[in-house]
Amino acid sequence: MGEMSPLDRWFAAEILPHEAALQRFLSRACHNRAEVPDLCQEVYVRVYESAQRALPSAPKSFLFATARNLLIDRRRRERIVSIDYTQDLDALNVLVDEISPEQRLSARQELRRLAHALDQLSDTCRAVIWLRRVEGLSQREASEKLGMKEGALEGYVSRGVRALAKAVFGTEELVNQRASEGREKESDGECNHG
Amino acid sequence: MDSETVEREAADWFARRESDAWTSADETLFDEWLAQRTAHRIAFIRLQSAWQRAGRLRALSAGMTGGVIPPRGSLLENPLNEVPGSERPQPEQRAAEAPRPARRPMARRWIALAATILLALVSGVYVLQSGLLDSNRYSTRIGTMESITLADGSRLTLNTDSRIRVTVEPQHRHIDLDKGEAFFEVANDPRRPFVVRAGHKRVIALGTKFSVRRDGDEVLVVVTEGTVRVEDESVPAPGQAREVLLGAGSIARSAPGQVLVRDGAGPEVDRLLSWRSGYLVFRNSTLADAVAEFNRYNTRKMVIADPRIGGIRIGGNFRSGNTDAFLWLLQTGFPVSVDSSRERVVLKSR
Repeated sequence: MGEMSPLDRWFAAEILPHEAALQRFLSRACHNRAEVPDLCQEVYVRVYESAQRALPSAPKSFLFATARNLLIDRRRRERIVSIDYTQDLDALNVLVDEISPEQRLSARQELRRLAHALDQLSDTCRAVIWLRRVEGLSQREASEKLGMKEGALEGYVSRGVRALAKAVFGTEELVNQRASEGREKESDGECNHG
Repeated sequence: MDSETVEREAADWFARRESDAWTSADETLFDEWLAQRTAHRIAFIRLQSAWQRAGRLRALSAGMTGGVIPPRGSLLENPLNEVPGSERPQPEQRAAEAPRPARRPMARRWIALAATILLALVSGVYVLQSGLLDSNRYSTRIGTMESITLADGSRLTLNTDSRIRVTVEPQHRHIDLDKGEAFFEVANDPRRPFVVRAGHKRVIALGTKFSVRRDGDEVLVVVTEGTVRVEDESVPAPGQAREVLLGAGSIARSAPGQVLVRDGAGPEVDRLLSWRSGYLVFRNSTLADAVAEFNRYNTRKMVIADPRIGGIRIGGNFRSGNTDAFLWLLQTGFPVSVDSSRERVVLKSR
């Protein structure tokens, strides 16, 4: 996968920019916010696999319709129908339409978020990303400059690229929340919990 | 597997692929991992495109000395002091002891510089004499596309088999389209016109969206937003204007010395730009034109052996890399037979 396929590019250009809105949407429908990233992944998989068969003409509506269907499927599977559930979905209908026509970040906003994300990284990780992405050094050049093994540098690139992706696509609110919750968080309720 | 694990794996692959030690055996393993689950592929696409877009961060390093990591918090500090361009650090101040940020007074200088650059980005008017420069060549192979963010914030998408040279300077922004096609989303900057040169034509924009395609001397300009001016550098034919203004929804086809303009061509504009989402869209096109279009995206070329079928009218949406679907349609819906070999695909009448 040296270059992304046209479908991959389509996905990156038409679907991923709505990630923040999608996460907000999912976290409203689902009381356990810890589930949001997994739900988000599942929505993406459905959208991508469906786009392999036919590219939807209105990507954003399709994305949110898919998210809604996913939520409906899950609840059906769980065979628990709460009264709030239908109300939730009605609310979601409105919500989707209200998500402004373009939630895409302006160039300036994106730069600001990226710079902010960069500053949240540890010293070494920040230096690695700066040298690799901003100054355009190769992995080898960067590792020589920082006096570390290439393998170690890869670990930092791996961490850094995840942080950048959250800055570009995700919602900061959720990012912070997840970070502070840590990995040992307690589940605070099921998705179908009213 | 939960999304966090998938993302972590994808990030590790991403980082490993960047190393010089990457082998073809690694590539095979990686491809297997990608193919295993759609979630893998998506996680990787997401990281890769975030990394691409993070190229925007390069705007922050304009005017800075290489190898010095600016201190935390300095990148987006509020601009309070004005810094003259002469305050740029000199090369001998290069401090390669990363990652430890240099201490004051260097740090303060970084802060001030970064602040000035931010101010320039924010106001969109004041451009630091030395900042926001870019000088690069970009090219794509057949069947690939590339999105690039320039130092001034403009974005461009390079279509299949294309080559450009970019010069972004304080006074002007200049692109040479040597071959192929590109779509431009120009960052607004009234002081620096954005000029695309394609053969004899110069396409000039301030802040707008348009595409330029070049086939030898023929140049096609499609405008989706704002206005661009197309100038001819060759000697014009008598009575022919040297320049034309194109508004949104206009298409200009031109050869040296002449320009043919079509306004209010919304659907046609969409059709001509469908390549950006990986599609070729034909509406009542001749088979000959469709084949020529497909051949731009594929190394195995289609050849029409029989001129009689070249005029068949076809329509439809196709993935640009998926000639098989196209050939299948031809064979089932039209009196065309297909003879495929490894090097080429010959179309004959049936």
